[in-house]
Amino acid sequence: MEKRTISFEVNDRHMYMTVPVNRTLLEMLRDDIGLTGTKEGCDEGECGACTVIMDGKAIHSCCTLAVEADGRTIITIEGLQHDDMLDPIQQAFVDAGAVQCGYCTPGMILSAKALLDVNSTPSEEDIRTAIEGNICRCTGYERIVQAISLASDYLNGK
Amino acid sequence: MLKPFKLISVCNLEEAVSGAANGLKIFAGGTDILVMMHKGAEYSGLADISRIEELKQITFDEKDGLKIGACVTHSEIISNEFVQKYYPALVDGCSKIGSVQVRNKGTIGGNICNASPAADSAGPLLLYDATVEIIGKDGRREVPAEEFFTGVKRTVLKQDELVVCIKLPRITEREGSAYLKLMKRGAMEIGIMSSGIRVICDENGICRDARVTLSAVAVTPIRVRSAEEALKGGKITDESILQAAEFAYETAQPKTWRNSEEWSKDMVKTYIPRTVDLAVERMKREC
Repeated sequence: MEKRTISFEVNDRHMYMTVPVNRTLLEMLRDDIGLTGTKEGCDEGECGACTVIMDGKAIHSCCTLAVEADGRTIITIEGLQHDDMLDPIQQAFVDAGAVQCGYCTPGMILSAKALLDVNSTPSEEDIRTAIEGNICRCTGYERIVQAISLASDYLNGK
Repeated sequence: MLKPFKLISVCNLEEAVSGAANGLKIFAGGTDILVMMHKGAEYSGLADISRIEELKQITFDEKDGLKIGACVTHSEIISNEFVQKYYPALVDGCSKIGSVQVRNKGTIGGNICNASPAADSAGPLLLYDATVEIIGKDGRREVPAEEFFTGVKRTVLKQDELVVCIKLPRITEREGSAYLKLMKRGAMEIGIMSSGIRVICDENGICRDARVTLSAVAVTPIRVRSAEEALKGGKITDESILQAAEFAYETAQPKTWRNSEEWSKDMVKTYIPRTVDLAVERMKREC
């Protein structure tokens, strides 16, 4: 199998990696780098559990080849916490009770971050659109929407 | 894990054409191809065109209109100021594709080449009389968007050809357009049926030209010329709108297992008037 050596940044860390071209970004993150916070759900771009941020945009890592990350910047859920302090979005999910089984949570938080990074005061509609590609089978979404709204308050110093 | 395949990252259109001629599958955002590969589809090789600069441009010219490179993503289309101002039905369509994650990677070239009868960029392209620029071994050619689709998952593309860009002519001064997609969930969904309307009126409110499109109710996205004629020639009234809806109903031939065909047809009759209303409202807002 053809392999390529790629260079990219993940969670503020520059990396080189030699990967087969049929490896998905999800497999590279989880199995080669050990960043298992990114979850595999449907593995066909439907559920959003594998969402990561690439060059500022939320994407499905299961439907992205690892080699597509060459030269790009990736953020996974592990990249949010700093100095043992949760990111305000993570804290808001805890405070709002938006986590039940937790499987969708990393993807959900990264979709929220991709939104809040470009729109710090989103409307409820903006929030619902931002997470339209993330399936949660526990919460019924209400607490998640509240959490993202709360995260917006935290980020704006409220 | 994906089955092994060969990946060629092409740097220019010549390499892409020669890759396609040699049987490589053209690969850009991967939102269709990788899904199919996860489900077991096998390709001998992929030609990755996603880093060819020419294909990533979206430009607007007062005289010539809009030119969208094949690798422009749906998110880039939705956020483009000229698309928002002049081609609102394209925003309607592209913003209903998949989810944020899909729109951030999926491209308009991929959406039309995948040629689903329900493709949400296709109906709007038909509304705006778009043409598709294609490149192959014999050079470049242009095909009207309406003729680009030849069947379910089929297009006019020959093996050595790929889409370079899509051109939308400048719109007229007094017109309105809209595209509505009927969905059950609101995201990550193939439309049950979608209707597109574009009306062009004179200063007296007489409808001088119209486009009526339907998606997901035939083997390709279609224009309904009888419905267009029903809207043309007079003011847009309940009578002309219902006549157009009736013609659209008669033309629709949905073949689907996802819901009853009769219901899809009924929804055509419901959605054509709603779409006309929105198009007319937008025209009034602009004038």
